[in-house]
Amino acid sequence: MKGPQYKIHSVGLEEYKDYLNYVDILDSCKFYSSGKSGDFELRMLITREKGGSGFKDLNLGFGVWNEEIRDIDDGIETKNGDMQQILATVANRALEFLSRYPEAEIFAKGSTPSRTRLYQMEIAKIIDEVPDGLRIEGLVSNDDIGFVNFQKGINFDAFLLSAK
Amino acid sequence: MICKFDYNKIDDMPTTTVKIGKKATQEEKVVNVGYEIDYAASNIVRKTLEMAETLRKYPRPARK
Repeated sequence: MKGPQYKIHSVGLEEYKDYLNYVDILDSCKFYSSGKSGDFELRMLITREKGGSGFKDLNLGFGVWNEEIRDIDDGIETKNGDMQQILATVANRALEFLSRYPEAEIFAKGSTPSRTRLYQMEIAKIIDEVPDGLRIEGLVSNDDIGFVNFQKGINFDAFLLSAK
Repeated sequence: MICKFDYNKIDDMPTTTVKIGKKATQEEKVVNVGYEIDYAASNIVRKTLEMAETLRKYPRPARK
């Protein structure tokens, strides 16, 4: 991914040991957003349902880490003016994951429809530059259409990232 | 964080007497409640389960 990104730090699974009763965590990292609103620790996780197998049903989640409740708060806006840097950091980590596990399919959805729309706009900006080996699909829930190749001008409800 | 509290069990729960008001002229018995994190309600877990449900409803296209 082009553009500035934050430095990534790995996070051990021991930090999420209580969650492991419910989900499998396949990747975990953190980075820090700094700006006019202050410093925020953000965490990104790639997870799947507990007991799932393979790499087909993976969820990408990220957001501000709330140390008190030890959970990602994906509703917070940092307002640090670094949204593109955050998204580039997350996207790059997802691509690294795909390079390690080419069979993986990573699902992503915003915490709100407006956030999903924001992700859609950011994907639309780079869709023409996406390498041939990468596939981005979007979910259209209306009329139960399902997943289709990402196209500009369509409103998607979620996204699926995979390698061809 | 979710506070799990069963109001039906209030009579069985231990209580603590606390003083209320600036001059502590009133006392009231309150139930000692414990707090625990409801991991099933966490964003990490919830979003993962929602994803799995979505993918069951909308299967991925067949890959060539």
